Amino acid sequence: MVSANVGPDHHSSKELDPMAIRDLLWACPACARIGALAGSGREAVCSFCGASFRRASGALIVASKPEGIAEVRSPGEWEDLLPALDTPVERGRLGPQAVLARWAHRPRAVRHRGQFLGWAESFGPQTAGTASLDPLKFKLQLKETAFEWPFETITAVQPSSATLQINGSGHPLVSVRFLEDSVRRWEALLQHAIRNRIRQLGRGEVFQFHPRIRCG
Amino acid sequence: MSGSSESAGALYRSAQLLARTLWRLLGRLDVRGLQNVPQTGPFLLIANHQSVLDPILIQASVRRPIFAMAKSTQFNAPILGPLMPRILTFPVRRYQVDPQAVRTALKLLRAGHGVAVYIEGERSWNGRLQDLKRGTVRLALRAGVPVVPVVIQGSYEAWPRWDNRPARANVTIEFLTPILMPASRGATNRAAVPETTARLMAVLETGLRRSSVKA
Repeated sequence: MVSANVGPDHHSSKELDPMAIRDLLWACPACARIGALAGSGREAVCSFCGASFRRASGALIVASKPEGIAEVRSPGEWEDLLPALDTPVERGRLGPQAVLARWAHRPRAVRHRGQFLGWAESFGPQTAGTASLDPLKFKLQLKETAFEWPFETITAVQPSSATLQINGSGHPLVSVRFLEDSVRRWEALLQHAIRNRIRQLGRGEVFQFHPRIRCG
Repeated sequence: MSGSSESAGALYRSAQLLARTLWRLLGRLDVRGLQNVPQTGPFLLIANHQSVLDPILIQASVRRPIFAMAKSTQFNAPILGPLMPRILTFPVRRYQVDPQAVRTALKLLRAGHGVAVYIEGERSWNGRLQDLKRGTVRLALRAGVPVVPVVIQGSYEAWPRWDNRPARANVTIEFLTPILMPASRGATNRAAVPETTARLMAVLETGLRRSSVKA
């Protein structure tokens, strides 16, 4: 296991490109600093060790280290070098991170030529706020109101393009876009925290996070 | 919708043609095993999911119209949303079990159509095959129609989930030998899920390995 250093939770006030290398590489594979990669699109630079990562042909990612060493790996191989996920959550807290959140409306019936095909979710307007994880729950602070999801009440977690979508009892489905962090990182951390909580409660191992969390 | 695969053909056929034409600008498309797609009658096409390009390229590769399950939020997207049913897609809600999506899929299969489902439930972040969704396996077991496994390779290299635009890449799509499963419901269906999941996983993994060697 690579030791995990927790980097700054805030990089800059600029909204980052929602589909970027740093969504995949939520920590720097070179120095294991979590949340240290900044940049948009096909290039990201580690604010801690200075290594840069850019997309090459065939979805390969090339790392250039300050000492001039270049290394080429597939995304999966780079992902294998990311640090273990337990550190930030077990330390207690993650965030607050700037987010834009949207609540799901009542689903709309989709019909075609008079035939009912199914239901389609849509989301309401965005509200700015912050997201955070503590040892027992996921929290959203939107304007003056705080919303909390104890991990055991969450029924589904899945990223969709650039947002993390969370379903749970007590709240409608919420779609959360992280303005300054990787959606993949939050997905992985939240899944890790839920998995731990379910285990603590003696409900077994989680084997699926969507469309519904399943354990056994 | 169940009777519309022929009559809805104009937009679907145009989309197929457009996809094939535009793809020539980005790379080569190598399609294998088309003889494994039944010419008539129902079938369930089960594919891996590497990229947003997968449904476009798979549906463009098969002459016969194929209905596809797609995430429900796309049906509310501007421009594309209203067109989704006309290109033979139907919605599935992804954050809860969606019995209506299963009913629609079964209805289409009973009407003799082909239905495509991306069995990982989402695009892969790193290009590797992910766990298969049990709900889709149960659908396959319940339907009792030929299951055509499909492996698509190269679309991740063209447009991975973490990039905001496509790049040139050669894509291979291979339609594998259909698997025949007897229809089952209830406890029999549930009991068959683990073994069937393992079987489908092995077929997709083997197909991906073989496909990458050939490419």
